[in-house]
Amino acid sequence: MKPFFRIAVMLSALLVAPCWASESDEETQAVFAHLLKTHADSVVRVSFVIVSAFAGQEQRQESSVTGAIVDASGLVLVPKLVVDPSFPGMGRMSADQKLSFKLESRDFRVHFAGQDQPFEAEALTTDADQGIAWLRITTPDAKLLKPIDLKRRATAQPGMAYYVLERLEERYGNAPIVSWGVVQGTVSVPQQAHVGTGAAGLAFNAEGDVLGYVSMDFDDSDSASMTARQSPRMLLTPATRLASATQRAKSLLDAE
Amino acid sequence: MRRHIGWLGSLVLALGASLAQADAGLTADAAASTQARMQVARDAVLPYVVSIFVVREDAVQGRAELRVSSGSGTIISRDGHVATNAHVTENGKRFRVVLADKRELSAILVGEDALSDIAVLKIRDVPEGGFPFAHFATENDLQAGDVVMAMGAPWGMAHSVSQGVVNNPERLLLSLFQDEADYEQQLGQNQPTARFYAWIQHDASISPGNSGGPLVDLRGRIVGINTRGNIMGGDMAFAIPAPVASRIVADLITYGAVPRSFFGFGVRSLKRSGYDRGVLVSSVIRESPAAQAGLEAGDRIIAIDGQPVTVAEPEQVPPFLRRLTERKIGATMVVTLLRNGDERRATLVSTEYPPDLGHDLEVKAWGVTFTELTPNIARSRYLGRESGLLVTGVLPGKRAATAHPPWLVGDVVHAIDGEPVATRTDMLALDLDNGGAAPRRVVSIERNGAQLLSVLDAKPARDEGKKLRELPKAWIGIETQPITATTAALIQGPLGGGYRVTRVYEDSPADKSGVQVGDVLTTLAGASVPVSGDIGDEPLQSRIREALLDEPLSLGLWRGGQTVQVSVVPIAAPAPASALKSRMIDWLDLGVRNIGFYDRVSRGIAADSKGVIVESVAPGGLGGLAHLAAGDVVLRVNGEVVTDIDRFEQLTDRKARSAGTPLSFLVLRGSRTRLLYLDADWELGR
Repeated sequence: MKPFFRIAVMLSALLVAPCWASESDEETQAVFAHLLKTHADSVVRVSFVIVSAFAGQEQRQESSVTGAIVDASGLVLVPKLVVDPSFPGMGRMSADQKLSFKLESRDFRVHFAGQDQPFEAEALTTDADQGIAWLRITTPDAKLLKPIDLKRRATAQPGMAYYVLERLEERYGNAPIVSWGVVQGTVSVPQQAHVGTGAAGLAFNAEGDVLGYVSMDFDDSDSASMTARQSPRMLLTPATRLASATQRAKSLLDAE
Repeated sequence: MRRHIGWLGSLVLALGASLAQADAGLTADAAASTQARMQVARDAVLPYVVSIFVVREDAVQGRAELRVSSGSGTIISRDGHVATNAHVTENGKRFRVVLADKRELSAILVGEDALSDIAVLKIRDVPEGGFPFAHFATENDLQAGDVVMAMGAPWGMAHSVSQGVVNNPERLLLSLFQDEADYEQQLGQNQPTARFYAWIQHDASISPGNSGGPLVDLRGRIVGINTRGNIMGGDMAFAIPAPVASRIVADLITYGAVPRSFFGFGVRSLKRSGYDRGVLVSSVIRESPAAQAGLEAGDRIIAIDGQPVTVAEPEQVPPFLRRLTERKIGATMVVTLLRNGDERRATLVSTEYPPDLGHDLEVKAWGVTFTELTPNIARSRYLGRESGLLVTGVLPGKRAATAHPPWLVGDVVHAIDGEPVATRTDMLALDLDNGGAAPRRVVSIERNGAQLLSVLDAKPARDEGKKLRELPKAWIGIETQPITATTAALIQGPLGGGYRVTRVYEDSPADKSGVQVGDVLTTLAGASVPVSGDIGDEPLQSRIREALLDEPLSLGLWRGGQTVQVSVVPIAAPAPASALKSRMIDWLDLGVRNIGFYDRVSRGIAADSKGVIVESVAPGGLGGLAHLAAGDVVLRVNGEVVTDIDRFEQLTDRKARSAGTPLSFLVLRGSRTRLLYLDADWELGR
């Protein structure tokens, strides 16, 4: 069982973008420039440590992903895997196996562009259905918090291109980049969502409106065997659900 | 002629048969004799062989971790001294020995010597009249083919005996394909065990756990201490010869350490050199007595203190070097050497042999482990300095790992805020685990010859005890299976199928609304829910989760051939294990959490049973020594019911109890309960 490897593959898959574009180069350049100008300041790098332990042997590994500031109180939207790591098949572990196996994340730090000191953060809550989680910066600097307005949203449609902003690792100077994908269709099971292909993360349309969140959907149903498993699908859950869940997450914060 | 041949043939056959009978008789006698001698030898040593249980503290990825390991040893004095291996006692914090009569006794470390891999423990409580004990052979008179027995606890199986023969009584771990200089190189980067000693190679089976146990000959003498086996199995084992071991043991008992002289040069034998007298200087350590006396690599020493010396073969190198170390510390040695055909003399004054290994240290607040740099470690790692603290582990995410620049294993920390730090004592004086004074520290580091400054955030780390919560979602407390239209037709179910209720959780909203196992749910909030093959009931459950909390939700149920409408009021889903309240009980090195709804479901724990679940336990911590294991449900402590982690913390509160009073745990493991005890002596540090 090598969860680190699998998680690393999953996280790296989040960054993979397909090599096509329907727009001409000029149009694409304009979209990228607009998105970077509008949202780059809201996109941060989040580093964390994955801790795994099996039969008393513990291992730790550092990793990092892109997060998005979604509230002025310091809420950072990240993939659920970041705060609640898992791997395919984990759902089918026996109760005893689950108890002797530990996989968790900790030591979250939010890195803002141009800042040489990261901000410590803690996991606030998760939404397993949307594959998302929210971190809370423990002592945020209000000047740096430029949240994405989740009320500025649009509805995804099959055939649309969507765009995802990423914040690169320190090695690349924490530079922002744009990845993209395509909405391929709509599903009503296991939940109502769109299926996409391409980048994962907070998705925008070309105008910079929020379309929703693209995450990988793992089939952990009891009937599927490991060998027969399909590669995970990318599900885009609508912006309305994302906004509603973020509001509930914020209410947890307010209740503290 | 033919008759003669026949007669001669008969004579030869008869003679052969008679010789064979005589051989058989001799063999049987010899076997009986060997058997009898083995029994005598066994009885001379085996009763004094002990199993050793060690609680050790190892540095693992930047933190000290308590673990358990085992080895073997022999009682070699009336006072209860036990001879074993240094690698058995290495990093040991607590020791127990188990005697042949099953008594388990606490022991303390008297001394350990990594260079010979010998250590001595002493049993704390010595009975009146002392312990009976075994004896070392006083000379290494073993020959290849001699029968020997290995005694000890392979894989912790106490008092095992295996038998074999000596393969080579004077073995260097050097194959035909290596140069003798490879020998020292392969002894280990920091701990060159056997630099001064050849070993006994034998084929009596030994396994992990045999380390430190005796190798015994048929005269009932300890002829060696087993120290290494073949990790891949097979028939090669190695023991430290008794004359060496007994001398080291005596030094350890007398001084707590082995006093050795240091001259600072290495040698090689004359083999392949073309010379027939002397010994070749192969290396000279800078600033050593040898360097100060002007020795150079390539010199050929032909006499020491006027006495001719010759080291012709590699096997003679370790005893030659050993004799040098056995000289009195501070004594003068006059060396006659040949350099470029000229004879010269050099006078060397020995110093105390420097320790190969330094003390280890953990700075928990920074997530880093160190070992003190020694000249030996510095040389083997090509470091530019011989003092400082070598980083041996960095815990990801902690202060050292997130310093600017982050610290790496192999860095040497030599100053903090401009103040030199060279030893564990220097570092402890800064009281870093209690926060120290400054919020940020500027740390001077040597890395690959470069001199770096690293800024480290020294603020105390925040509490990590907070649990991850799932966003509150609606839950009604049913499990279902999807029923497709085809299946529905077969079971006289609703047209188009639905979700058949397979379980209703007690006291859940669905239970309170009268939902029953066998009902088929066809609509939710007036809308049908798509049913798709056998993918499970996720389409239904995801829609239930999206419902509003505390707002009535209507279910359309097919029951007994009719559709009924039932209204349920969803509540927030029970907390998953990751969100349950948990706590670390530091003195037990134990992590526990409350029992949750899903634990009860998956493990069949009754709804009214109370307890806490063990989430983590350090094998060498007090909880681990009480044999608590991850996954145990602790039901009672000292007979008192554990209701939740607050009660558990109360019942195990160290301040409220007298150290050494009994502590028992009634736990549920699997489907059975078991009673576990914390041995009071462990708590008392004995």
